[in-house]
Amino acid sequence: MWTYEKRLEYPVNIKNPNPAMAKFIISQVGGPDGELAASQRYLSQRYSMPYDTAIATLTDIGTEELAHLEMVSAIVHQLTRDMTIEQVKEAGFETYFVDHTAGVYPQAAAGFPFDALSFASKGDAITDLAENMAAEQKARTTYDNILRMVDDPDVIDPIKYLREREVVHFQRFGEALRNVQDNLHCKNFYAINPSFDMTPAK
Amino acid sequence: MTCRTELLRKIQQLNFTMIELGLYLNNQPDCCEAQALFDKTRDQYQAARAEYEDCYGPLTYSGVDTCEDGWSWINGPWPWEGED
Repeated sequence: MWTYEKRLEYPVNIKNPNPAMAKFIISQVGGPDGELAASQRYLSQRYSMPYDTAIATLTDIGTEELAHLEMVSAIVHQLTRDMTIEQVKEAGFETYFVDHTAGVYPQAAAGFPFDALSFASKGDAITDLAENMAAEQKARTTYDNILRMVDDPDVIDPIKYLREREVVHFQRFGEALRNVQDNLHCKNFYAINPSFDMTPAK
Repeated sequence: MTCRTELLRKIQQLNFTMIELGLYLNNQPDCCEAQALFDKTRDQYQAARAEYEDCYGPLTYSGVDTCEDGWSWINGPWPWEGED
C-alpha cells in the first residue's frame, strides 16, 4: 500500500525553460540507471529477501526512489514548460517533441524507451544487494555526468541533492549486505542461496 | 519565500531527517541515540504537518477537512509546478 503525499521530497523551482537540458536529464526518469528502474528494482526484490533488516531497507529506499522519480519528472516538466517552437528546434528537441510534445515520458537520453530489463531481480539476497550497490554508483555517475553539462543553478541544486542520495543509499545497501553475510557461513557466503535454500531467519 | 513555502520547507527538512534516521535504523536497529532522535523529529514533523494542513490544505487524504473546505484534495498548486 502506498499513499501519495502532495509535496516533493526536495524543492524543484526552475525559472527558465531549457529543452536542451531536458533531453539528457530525462535519462534519470526512464534510462537504465534512472529512478523508475531503481524504485521497481528494489520493491520487486523484497519478496524473496529472507532478512527483515534488508526487507525494510529495500522497502524504504524503493519508496524514496519513487519520490526521486517525481523530482526528476518535475525537473523535466519545468525545463519544457512554456518552451517555444524556436527553443524546441534550437535544442534539437524535435525528436522528443514530435512523439510526446511537453509530456514526461520514461526514456533514456539516447531515445530508447524504458526497459524492464533494468529491474534486475535475481532472487538471491547477496546477488540482489550487490546489484543495488552497483546501481547506486551507476546513478551517481549519471548525476555526475549531468552536473558536467548543466549551468543553471536552479537545475544544479536538486541534481546535487539526488546525487548525494545515491551515495547514502550505496552505504545503506552495503550495511544490509553485511547484515546478510553475518547470518551466513563465515567461511563460504556462497554455499547456499539464502533466498531459496533456507527457512527465513525471522 | 512565502509563509506557505517556509512551512513546507520545515516539513521537508523534518521528514528528510526521519528518512535518514529510518534508513540508518533499518540496519542498526538497536542504536538508542538514533531512536531518540527519530521520536523527537517525528513529533516536530507531525506538529508542522498539522499546522500546514490547517492553513494550506491537505498533504494526504487524512488531512482533508470536508466540513471546513469541501473536497480540497483537487486544489493546486501541485508539487511539480514549483513554488511561489
